[in-house]
Amino acid sequence: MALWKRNDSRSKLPKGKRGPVASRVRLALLAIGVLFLWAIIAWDLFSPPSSFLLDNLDEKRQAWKLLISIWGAAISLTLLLIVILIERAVAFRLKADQVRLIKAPGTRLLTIVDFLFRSITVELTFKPLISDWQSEYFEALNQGCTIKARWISIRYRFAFSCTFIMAMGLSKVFSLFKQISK
Amino acid sequence: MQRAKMKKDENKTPDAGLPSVSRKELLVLEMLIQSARELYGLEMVEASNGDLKRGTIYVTLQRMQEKGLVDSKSEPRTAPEIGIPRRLYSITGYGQRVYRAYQAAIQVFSPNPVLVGR
Repeated sequence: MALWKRNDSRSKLPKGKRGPVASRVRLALLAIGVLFLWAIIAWDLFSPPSSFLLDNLDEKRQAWKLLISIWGAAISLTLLLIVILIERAVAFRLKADQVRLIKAPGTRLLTIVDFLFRSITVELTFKPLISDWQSEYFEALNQGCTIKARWISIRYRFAFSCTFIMAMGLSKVFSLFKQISK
Repeated sequence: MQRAKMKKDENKTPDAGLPSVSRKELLVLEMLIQSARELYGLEMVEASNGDLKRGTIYVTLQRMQEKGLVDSKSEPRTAPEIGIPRRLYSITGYGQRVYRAYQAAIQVFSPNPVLVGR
């Protein structure tokens, strides 16, 4: 569907505050994991040697394997963290000058009603409504009124729900219930 | 199929009986007659001062189109414009006759009827 320039307040936020929340959470979990591994290594380095490392050769070998795998994991995860941080820093610098492309509002809803209703109903009822929605929404965005654009979106979602109910013929069902209840 | 239905609607005569028209439908007909041009659904909502709502206007217009009272066409688009085209609505001859019939009925049944011919 149509792609449009997004001109909302997200791009005005400081660099550190931008980016999706899920990505930031993943990054934080990765950092915690790396710190935990390095803490294990540090504890192993500074603690007195265990008796089983000195007595049994097999156990000693297994312990060394474990130690090497912990070291390997710690080093690889640290490298990964560094790479991600560099990538994010570069991406933020690029995003400041980039044009963001998003789907026009109502596109997904149109797909749903296209599946549920007759094509004539979609053409005469839902498409004009979504067209008005998009034109009002992008007009508000072009004027720099982000809050107004969001308010328009909310109003049109409500209007869409009303239209959906009317097109489904549910209003007739409600009036039937009213008549029965009288 | 839609064109055939619309053709059938246009050929309707008063002999078929006066169709039932709601207050909102009469308001839409009145606006289309007064503006003397094609109107968008949103224009009608804004001009109605709250009598018509965004959530119901297109269902009403679809019903009116099925009755043959109004006609619609997709807005012509030029090359750089993208997105879903809006619809332009105009009144049909049948719609004008129905509106006049209702206006006459309103005049007759109003408390202070206007007497014609004096």
